[in-house]
Amino acid sequence: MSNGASPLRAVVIACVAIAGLIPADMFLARLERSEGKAEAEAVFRQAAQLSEAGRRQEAIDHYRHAFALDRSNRDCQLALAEALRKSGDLDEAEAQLTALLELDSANGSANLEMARLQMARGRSSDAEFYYHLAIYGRWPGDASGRRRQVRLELADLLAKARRPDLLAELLPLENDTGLTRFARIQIGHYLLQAGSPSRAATLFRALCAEDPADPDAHAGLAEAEFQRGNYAAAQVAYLAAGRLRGRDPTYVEKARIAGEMVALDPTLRRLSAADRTARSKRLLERTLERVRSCGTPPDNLLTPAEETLRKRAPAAEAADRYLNAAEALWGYAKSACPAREPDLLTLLFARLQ
Amino acid sequence: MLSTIQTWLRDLRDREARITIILSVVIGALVGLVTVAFLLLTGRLASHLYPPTLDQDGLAPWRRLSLPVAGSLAGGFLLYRYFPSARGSGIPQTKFALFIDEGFISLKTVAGKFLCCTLSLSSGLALGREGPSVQIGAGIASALARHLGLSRKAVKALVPVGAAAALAAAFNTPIAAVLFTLEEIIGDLNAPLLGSVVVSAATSWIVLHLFLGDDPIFHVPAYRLVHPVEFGIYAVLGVIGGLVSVVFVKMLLGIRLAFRRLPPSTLWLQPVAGGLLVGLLGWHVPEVLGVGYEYVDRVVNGDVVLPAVLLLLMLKLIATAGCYSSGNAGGVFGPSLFFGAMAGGAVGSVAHSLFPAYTATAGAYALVGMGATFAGIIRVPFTSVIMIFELTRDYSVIVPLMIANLVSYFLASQLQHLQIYEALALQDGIHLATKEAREAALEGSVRDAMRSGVAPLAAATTAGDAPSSDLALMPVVDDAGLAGLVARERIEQARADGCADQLVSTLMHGDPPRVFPDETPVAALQKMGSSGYNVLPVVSRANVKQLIGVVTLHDILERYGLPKESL
Repeated sequence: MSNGASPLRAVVIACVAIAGLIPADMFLARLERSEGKAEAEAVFRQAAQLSEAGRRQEAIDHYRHAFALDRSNRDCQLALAEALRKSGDLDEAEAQLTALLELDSANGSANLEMARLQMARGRSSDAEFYYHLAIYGRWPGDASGRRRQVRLELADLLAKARRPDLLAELLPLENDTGLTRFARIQIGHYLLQAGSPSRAATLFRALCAEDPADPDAHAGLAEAEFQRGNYAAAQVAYLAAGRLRGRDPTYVEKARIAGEMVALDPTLRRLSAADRTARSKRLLERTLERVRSCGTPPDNLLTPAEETLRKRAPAAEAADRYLNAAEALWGYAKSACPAREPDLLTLLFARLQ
Repeated sequence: MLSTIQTWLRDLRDREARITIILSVVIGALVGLVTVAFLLLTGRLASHLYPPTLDQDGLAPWRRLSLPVAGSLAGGFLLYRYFPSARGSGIPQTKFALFIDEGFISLKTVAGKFLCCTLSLSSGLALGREGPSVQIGAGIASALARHLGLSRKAVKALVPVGAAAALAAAFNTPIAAVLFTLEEIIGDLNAPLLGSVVVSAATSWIVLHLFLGDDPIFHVPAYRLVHPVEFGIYAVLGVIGGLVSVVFVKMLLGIRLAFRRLPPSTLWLQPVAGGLLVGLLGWHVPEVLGVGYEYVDRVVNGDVVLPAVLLLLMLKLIATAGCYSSGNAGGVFGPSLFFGAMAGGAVGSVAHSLFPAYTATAGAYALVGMGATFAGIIRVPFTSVIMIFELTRDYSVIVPLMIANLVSYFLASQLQHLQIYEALALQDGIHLATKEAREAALEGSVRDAMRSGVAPLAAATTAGDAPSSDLALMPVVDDAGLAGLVARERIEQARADGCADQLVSTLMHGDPPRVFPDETPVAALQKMGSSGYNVLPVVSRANVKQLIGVVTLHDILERYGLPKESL
């Protein structure tokens, strides 16, 4: 035992020290947390300002600093990842997002950012996966609005990639009344791209009813009706769109094509037999013109068609004969001299088939 | 009531070996609380002196120049006038206390270390907080043990307990703290203090977590080995880590020697040279200020710009060597991680740009570089591996770390023979036992000294039939194995008394003390001393009845170079 030792005093001093240090440490820890958060928020605001000013690298440095000051600030980590992605540092951006998602896999914003990052990497299937996680993820505030936006972004991605599963993403949006008019018009066009002109027509028709002065809604409706084969309705809608756009030549031209389709289409309902025969004959003549313009078509193709035109056929059979001859010629024409863009004949024969 | 407590304390003192564990918990808690206060106070002060909301352009350069100078001036004066023992890192001082001063570290030194390091570290000097924490923790343990009236042996035993507790809290690495204490402070991984050290480190770590939560110092993304060719690059990183370690240690020792040659009257002013150096460097490159964990974090996360990390490595080497050598209070633990991260980041950056398909990003190399440089400077390769693992919690770096650490450790040992703390002690005129010396002292076992070809006597042999032997005590075996030892004298006495038909088993001492072949000769000597036998049977650990040989007092002494004739 050491001389002069006072065990009791030592124990008392140790207890007092522990009892004094606990509140001191608690105070310091609380101060550290509150000051750290305040400092982090201030730096974060600076970073956001720098980002808005286009000073990307400085913004990244500030985001990093803010995140180092407050590791619990997920918004800051997300903003850092976004800034890194925009600056092209995809590796670090992915590392940050992976870390963030490990802690909070249902974070809608983080999943959306990860989806965008995967898109930037060219990994569309991974991006689609994260878009879905974002849609079904957790969002603060207006969750349904954010989910709607994400789904729209995903639809845009699928549309650009011409993916067949586009329609599946559009169906939940089709009747969503929370969407902006612009978004609904966009959805209508995506529906057309997804091969659902009837749904698109319904949507555009509703939009036209809501605002009859909107040329985009009329143009969309025209496209939808045209795809459905309702050329008359398409012509009306094109004309309306053109009128609202100050006689936009594009719509005027489209209205003319729709009008020609109406005039030429032998399959339209409620046509008289004579009218059907006349339309079929006109179709054969125009097809023959197209084939002749292709260079030197084989005689065994031209002669029967010319014969059909020359000979008189019984009224009941005439329309079918003309149509059969026209289809035989079209089979040659579409491979020998295909049109650069779908023209009247292409559309008509597609409809006939 | 008071008398009951006093009686209880007296009883406890009498059984001090048993109360070590209780004291370890108390020391762990107390040291943990003090270390947390130290970390928080230093951090808050630094944060107010260098507000993070001001960007680097907005932070006036005068602040970066004047604060380190002011901090070193204030610290230097306090160190010179009041706390001379609080100078430097704290780890060599803890070792002096342990091996030379019977574990004595004064409370005044603890207070001085706390105060001076708070001043110097928060003012931006390029030094670490871990070494000082070790001295503070060891000092608290020493003071508490002394005031409890424990024996000098117990006081000495509790110094590493306090050191481990401090390191566990300061670095948030409880396992590495235990290993560091055993590997570096005590110098023996098999030290009997293991239990107490573990308990105190764990308690302190719990205290840290209670106040600061479970947040690692560095936040590292998951890295993986991309291709086996990377092992070669990690070995190259080990070489570079070793070279950086040697450059740093030699530079630090060289500058320190130059300072030591200055007149003693300038001692109070010398730390200002370090402060001024850091201030001037910080004026141009603010990242040089402080220990720089934020930049380490950035680099291990892959934010590596080759020219920048090379510049930072070079400047930080100079800054830390200057600050430490000039006598400021602060350690080299943290800065050594900074050097490693920068060196690793540079190697990784080059490797990744040359072989992008075969290498991980620079961050992974920065991580391994931290361990390599730490192993090269502090010379604790095992601790280094575990420490980096604990700091980052990333298992995938273990094998690359082991490769780089061993290469760095080997190279640094070859180019700079003395480890940094031993070399610093030597400059102070203190000859601490080197690691090699300590290991040599522990070398050897009973196996090296024992006789393995000794034929034991059968228990059923009569005294008349017993063969002669030069051993004073002969082992006796029965069907089960070793039965006892019989003195040659007693056999000869039985013969002389005409009792030659007396069985050896009736003459022998049953249940004799034994030693195991892997026990140290010192342990065998202790057993000889306590039993009074100069011959001991050597038995198997798997079966204590299985006789392997015998060891005699002469055999052990001969092993230490004392020939039989001289005994």
